[in-house]
Amino acid sequence: MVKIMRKTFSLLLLFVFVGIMVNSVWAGSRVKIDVKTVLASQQSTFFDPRLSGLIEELRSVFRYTSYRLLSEDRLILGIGETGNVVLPGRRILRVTPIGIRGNRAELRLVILRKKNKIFQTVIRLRNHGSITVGGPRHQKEGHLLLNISNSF
Amino acid sequence: MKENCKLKECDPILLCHYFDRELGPEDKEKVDEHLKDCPSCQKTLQDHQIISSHYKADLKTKLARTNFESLEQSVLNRVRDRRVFGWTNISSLLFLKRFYIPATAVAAALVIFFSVMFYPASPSDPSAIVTSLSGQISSVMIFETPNTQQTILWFKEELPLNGEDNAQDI
Amino acid sequence: MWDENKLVLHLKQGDEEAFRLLIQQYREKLYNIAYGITLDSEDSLDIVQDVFLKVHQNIRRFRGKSKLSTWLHRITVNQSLNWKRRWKRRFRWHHRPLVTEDSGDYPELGTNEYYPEKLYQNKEFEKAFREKLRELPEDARTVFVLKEIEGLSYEEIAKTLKLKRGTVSSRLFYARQKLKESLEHDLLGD
Repeated sequence: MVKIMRKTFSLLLLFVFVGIMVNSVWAGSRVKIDVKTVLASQQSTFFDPRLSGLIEELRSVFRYTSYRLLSEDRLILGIGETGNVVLPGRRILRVTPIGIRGNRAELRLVILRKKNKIFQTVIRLRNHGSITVGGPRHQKEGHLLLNISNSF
Repeated sequence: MKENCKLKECDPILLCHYFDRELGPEDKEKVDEHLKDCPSCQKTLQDHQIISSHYKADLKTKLARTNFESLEQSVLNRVRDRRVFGWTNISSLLFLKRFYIPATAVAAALVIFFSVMFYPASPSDPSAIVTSLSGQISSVMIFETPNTQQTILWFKEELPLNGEDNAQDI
Repeated sequence: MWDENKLVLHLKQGDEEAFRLLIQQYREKLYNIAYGITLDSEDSLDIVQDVFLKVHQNIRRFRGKSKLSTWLHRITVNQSLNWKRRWKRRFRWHHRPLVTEDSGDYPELGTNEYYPEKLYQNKEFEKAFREKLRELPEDARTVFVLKEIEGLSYEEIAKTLKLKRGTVSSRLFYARQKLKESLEHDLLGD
């Protein structure tokens, strides 16, 4: 009985150890970044079902009545590598992972419009966390919201 | 007899109760008698009435302008959404102790497991920390959502000088 | 016509028709209370929406110890007071459209209401009245709202807000005194 318990405990320890190792190796290689481009407006009432979880969060701070998913992009980037996401209104979002610090990935985000940098920021995004960057106007009454999440 | 029924002097609090119909018959009679000969209290009562009528009229105007149909629809839609996601069942389950205790234990186990696997920051931490910011922007705000501390970064682009802002939108 | 017991019973069973009836029966009253406290039409709509969602979520916990309306009033008052305290309101303020709430207030030309002098006087009074309303402490305004809008007795207000009857009376008196100051411009006498 004691033997079985010891074996189980050792196995458990091994799993935890392997888990941590695998996690560290992943952290050293690539960062998976998902970008959801959302059009928020007060022109109509529409909640895109593909955004169900996100809308609840957004509705707690914004007063828009419509949230529509315009596009969804996935980038898998190494440290220092840059990926582009095409946004409406001749805009481009440029994402570059700069490094990993603890459980956060340091990302540089740049929004360009017709090759002009209109906005750039460096953020430390929690693993499996997300940030919503908003503000650019789109169509008459709408604003673009970019929900950027990562995992590594 | 009548003199006993009268108030000796003006009592604005009693008058307020009178206006709100909160007085018993005896006190009411006293105030009625007092009002007959007191222009000041008559004026106060009239003021109460004006305030009350104006306030109600103002609200009535507001109500007429309010779209309750869309409110109703929106509430019903959200309730339906909840049903789809099973919130009603979940919330009723949460009140059952036999669900509560094992659920807490499982949640605790999961928290410990994921804390080892993914080193999550404390839940009160914001999802993202903004370390630098620049650009052609006229204002910027950074805040967190109240429920899950998701960081929101809101910026306002500077308007282009040649008015091409909307023309370029696809 | 459903009585309160039947309505509550059906609500507890998750009957959507009952919920619709509840909304139709109470939406205006609750809106008035929320608006009376927040003095903001848009926020009040959001508050009422939240109140109904809370009711839907918690109706099983309603034991019928108080009237359904008292319960609804209490939730609305709490939501409205909390709303004001929450930081998100400040943020929303920044995103408010530039059109003011008063933009539709002016009577049309040619109607009896359009006498420039009278219009000016009423506008001045309204302005003073709104200012006084805004200046009122929330607790006094809440009592005033429940009295004026719902016509509740002191006892009922005390029950809704879990206060003593004397406190209700003194807050109401204070509110009236303050609001009366808006009449001091003597603009309504004409």
